[in-house]
Amino acid sequence: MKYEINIEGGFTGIPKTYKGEQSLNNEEKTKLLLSLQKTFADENTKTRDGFNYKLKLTDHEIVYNFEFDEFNIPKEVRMFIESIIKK
Amino acid sequence: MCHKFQCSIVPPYILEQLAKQGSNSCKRTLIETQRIAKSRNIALNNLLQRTDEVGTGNRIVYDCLNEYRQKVKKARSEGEDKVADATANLAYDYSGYVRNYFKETFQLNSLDGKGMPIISNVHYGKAYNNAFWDGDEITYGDGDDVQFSNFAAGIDVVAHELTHGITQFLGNLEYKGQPGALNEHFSDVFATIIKQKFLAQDISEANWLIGDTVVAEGFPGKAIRSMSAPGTANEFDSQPDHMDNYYTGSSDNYGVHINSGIPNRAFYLSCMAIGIDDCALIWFQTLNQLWRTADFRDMLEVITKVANELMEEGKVCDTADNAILESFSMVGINNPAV
Repeated sequence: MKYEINIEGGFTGIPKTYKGEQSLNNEEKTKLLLSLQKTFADENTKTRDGFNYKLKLTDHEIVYNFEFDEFNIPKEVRMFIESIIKK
Repeated sequence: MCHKFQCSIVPPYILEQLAKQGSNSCKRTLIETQRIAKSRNIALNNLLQRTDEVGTGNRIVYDCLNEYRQKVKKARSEGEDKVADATANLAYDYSGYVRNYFKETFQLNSLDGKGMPIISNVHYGKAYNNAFWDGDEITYGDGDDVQFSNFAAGIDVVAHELTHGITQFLGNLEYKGQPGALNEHFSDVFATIIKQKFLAQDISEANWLIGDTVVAEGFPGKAIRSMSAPGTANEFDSQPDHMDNYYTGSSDNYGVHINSGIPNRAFYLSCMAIGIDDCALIWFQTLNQLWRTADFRDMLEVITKVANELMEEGKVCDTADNAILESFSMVGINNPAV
């Protein structure tokens, strides 16, 4: 699965971009995609210096675009981003 | 017909008529409606009689245990002895220092003026490179120890985030574009002032940097931002120091952490001209008078008015208004009336 992750905002205000390809087994991919099909909570508009996560995933020909803040990012997406940052 | 689920929206006089005609469900509904109305009136009366409780800004520090959740485990509360976790103690001590500064200098009782508790969360997430205010509490990451270290260990970081809380209850500047850049500006201003007080520094010996104590060895720069020379703190620092270089893109909520460099520089120049204590009072009173959508020019208009009022009251030096006008002019923010 190809990914492009943009993390903006934060106290530092320094944007970070991660771009590449990550191989996921069927179970991991299903978990991730299912988490993206849920209804997300509203953004917390009172947050200051929170991160804003912009996520673009390309699985074969299908492109998924999502945007999250610190409070509505699904756990699976956060774990996926964490694994990318660790690479 | 009077079905059970329909009776609740039928007016009482109709219910009464139907009850007189022998409908038991309507009798029950009538009694239930009266009971609800009575309890609602009691609740309303209690609400009207209730006075807002005033607190004293008690501190509570929670340990997130490296989860991405807040308030996982209470680490230390107001008045309790030091705990084994140094980070929890730092969050406790620094939030107390900031709270006391605002109380002693401006008679502001905690962040909201009503003594709201000051809640801090430490050890948020794993190697999390950030600190934020969420409308109710502050949250600090430990940093990855490559680019950033423990965010709770920076007095300026703590002051910056707590000032976001104060701004929410005073000017409540919205978090995008110029009002958002002003929101960031006020947080950097009081982070700078409080850091200099904490370190007992004079303006001539201070480094005017934000976040210099939370950058780690792998970070390409000396700090996160510079008040005296915006755009020079690190390799990524894109803050302009003049309106000529104003950022017009949409990133970072239309540049809230970027364009704040412009008023930040004006603040630095003002401090150099009239001193940091006069500036602190003028900036605080200005924050008190700004509004949600105020932009840079609104800020200049309000801050010169505030400076004049404080000069008339003899609370700041008699060159304050001109010094501030000149400082703002030097960064390209000019009063439209001039």
